[in-house]
Amino acid sequence: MRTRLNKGRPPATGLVAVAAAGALLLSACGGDQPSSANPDGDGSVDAGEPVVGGNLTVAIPSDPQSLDAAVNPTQVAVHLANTLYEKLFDVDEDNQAHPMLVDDYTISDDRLTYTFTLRDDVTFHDGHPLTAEDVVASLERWQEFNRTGQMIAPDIESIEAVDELTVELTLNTPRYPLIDELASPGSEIFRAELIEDVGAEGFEQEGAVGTGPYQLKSWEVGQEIVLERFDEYKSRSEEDLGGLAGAKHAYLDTITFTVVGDQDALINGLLTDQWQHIMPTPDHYEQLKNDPNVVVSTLSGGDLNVIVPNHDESSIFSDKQARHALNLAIDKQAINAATGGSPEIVEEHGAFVSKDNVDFYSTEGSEVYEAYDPEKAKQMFTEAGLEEGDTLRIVTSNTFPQFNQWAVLLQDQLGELGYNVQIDPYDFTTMLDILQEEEWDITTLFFNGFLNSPQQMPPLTLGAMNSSGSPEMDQLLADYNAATSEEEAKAVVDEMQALVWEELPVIVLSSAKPWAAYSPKLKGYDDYWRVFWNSWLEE
Amino acid sequence: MTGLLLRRFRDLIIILLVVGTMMFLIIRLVPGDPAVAILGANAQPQELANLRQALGLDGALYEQYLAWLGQVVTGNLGESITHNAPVLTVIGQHIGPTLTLAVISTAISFCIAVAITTWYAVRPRSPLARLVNQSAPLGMAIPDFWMSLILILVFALTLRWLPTSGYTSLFSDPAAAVQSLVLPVAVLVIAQSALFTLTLRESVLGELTQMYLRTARIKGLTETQVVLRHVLPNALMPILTIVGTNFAVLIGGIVIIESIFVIPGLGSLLLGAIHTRDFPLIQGITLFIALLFVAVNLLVDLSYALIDPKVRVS
Repeated sequence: MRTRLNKGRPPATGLVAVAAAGALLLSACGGDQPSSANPDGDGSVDAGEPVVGGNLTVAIPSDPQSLDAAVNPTQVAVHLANTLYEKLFDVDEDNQAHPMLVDDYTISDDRLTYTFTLRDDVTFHDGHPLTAEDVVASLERWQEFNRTGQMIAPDIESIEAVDELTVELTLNTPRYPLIDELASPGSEIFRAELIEDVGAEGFEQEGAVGTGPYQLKSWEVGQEIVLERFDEYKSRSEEDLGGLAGAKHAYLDTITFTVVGDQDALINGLLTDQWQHIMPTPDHYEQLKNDPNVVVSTLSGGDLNVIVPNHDESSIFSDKQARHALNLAIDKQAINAATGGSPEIVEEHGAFVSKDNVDFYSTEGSEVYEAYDPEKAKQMFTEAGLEEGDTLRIVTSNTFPQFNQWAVLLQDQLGELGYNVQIDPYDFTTMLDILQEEEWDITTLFFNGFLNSPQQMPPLTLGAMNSSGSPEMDQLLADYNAATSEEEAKAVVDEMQALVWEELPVIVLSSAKPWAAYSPKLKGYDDYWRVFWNSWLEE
Repeated sequence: MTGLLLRRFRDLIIILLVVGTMMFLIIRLVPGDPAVAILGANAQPQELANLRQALGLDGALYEQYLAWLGQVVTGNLGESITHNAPVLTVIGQHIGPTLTLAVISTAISFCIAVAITTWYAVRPRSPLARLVNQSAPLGMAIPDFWMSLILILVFALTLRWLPTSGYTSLFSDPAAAVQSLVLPVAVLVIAQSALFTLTLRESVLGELTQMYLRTARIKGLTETQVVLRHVLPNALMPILTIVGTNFAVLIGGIVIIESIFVIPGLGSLLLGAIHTRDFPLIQGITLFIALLFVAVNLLVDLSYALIDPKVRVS
């Protein structure tokens, strides 16, 4: 049974928000087209009145296996966690942090003491009110078991509950990105009692109790997870922030996340209305884009497609000159055109984050990214000691077909310069192990480009894999944490970006735009991953 | 009979020990372990070491093996790393769909094979018999995945009679379950019934030349009675082995069908476990399938004894 409600977003506000987001992006991208103002996305502008009720079925590629967001960093788990739980702060569609469970907060003058006042009307799905104790227990566990938490732990002096609704976090050294880090996946606030003594293996189904707009109804492992509206949910008031921030209206009665691993089944199911939202691989973009019964839209963020040279002494690429020669030898445009799926979902830039990650997007070093000069490359290879007929070893994976495709194109491009390229494709886990155990020259990877603290970003911290890194980069990472203003932080980001293109820990090919295909019945969808509060199904 | 059972039980222990040990060694020889699979591309060495310790993967190989063996002997297959649950529980959650598919498709295929063969034995020259005769090899030759895609294209995407994929338990919603089972079962039935029909036909043809049939006919039995009462029971013996082995193969090997039709069965579970290097789960599933093979073979042997007095005597 569905009823019409009038409390949806007023259309005019929606329009303003889209325009504002566009303006933000315009200023950030130096005049390029805003990627999120997309003509196919339905957005909220002309979606009509929200309809309460119904079930939305969403296809996910695999079972999350654990709903403990603190220890499970996989994409599916993160997406489910976004709907089930909330954090002190959450990010909007431009990756900017806004208060979520926090009502108000102050930072001391020495930037060492953060005092968070929690909202007083928040309850967990099991009826318990949110208290400072829950926050302390969750963040203590975060420092112990979560990657971001572990990274920050050395800087944290203490986290204490001052009273029922006040938490005081004390640092031993100022940390500029702390609020952003508290808005990162894994820093969700759980019920203290339910996470007591839960280790790195994560809690079981009973622990999946949060403060989000939907609660866990059922979970058939390997098949489907059903979330149902949490009727006691008290929404924040800020409309139209997008992403995970601001007001959340649970229009749908239930959201069913169905596990569909096979790409053909995924698409066929959308076409026959078995499910209403999918995120397929890039090679299906054109097909679905041209299907009149499907809406296709690009989403926030982007995956960085990278070629990784091995900085270890066993490889020729320990020599910076050889790495720059490799960069000059790679025809990135040709590789992107052949493997990206469609120009609309390939952003050709060399930044170490996606374009809409506005705090970190920088065009420094773009001349190095754009340079392509095989002749000069050959000359530099020769100077670095690579002779014609020498063999380079690419270790890659066929788990992600594009990796193998890049490797083959690279083999071709380097082959034309007279070098032998040996390609060794493995399944992904084997590949990661081979990279640790054996000698190699080049590998292929992609990274999430929508993270919000430099220490989380693989291009800056890939040392454990390819022996990259330098005292200069370490210093810049420290400088960023010590920054006191947005301008200062941005200046450090520019320096980091320039250094990435000087040291070449990775060679960025492009940033792949994530995209979704969904039923025209799905309205109010914000083009933000698998977030479906504020969405409804048209009658 | 007791002797047979005891011998089989002894064989079972040996087989499980060999399979288990080989699996234990093979998956550890392959590069990559659960810690690498979980922590991904940018894992720090200390993180890897911590996780390996938490997962009990830091000891020497023989220590890990003895620990595992100690568990298995007490019937405990360990905890799945990715599913956060005992291996037996995880197998229990996934065996339902696979068993449903295997049982239904085997039963239907068997009935089809018997019906077709009976018809063929009674009316060998009828056009239908000839048609079936010609098309059975085709049924075996068509690859499963191709047949699946064609059936989906026709019945799900074009006619919209059936869902393109999915699985519902027969016990929770029988109507929806039947709908979702039609296409995968049809694919399996096409290949299996062809195999069973060809085997059974050979066997029936052999039986038809036997002298005792002349006696039956002289007694005044009709040709249908001859086939149903005398030929079929005798001709069924060889096909039981085929049905049994095939059933066990289905349990462990319908990965492709499960993947195309998004059925959360044992095959897809095993595939997922291999990708994530979930050692306890891989070992558990292989042991389970080995156990099933032996059990099915034992059942087939026992059924021989029931059907054929000669086996009992010998």
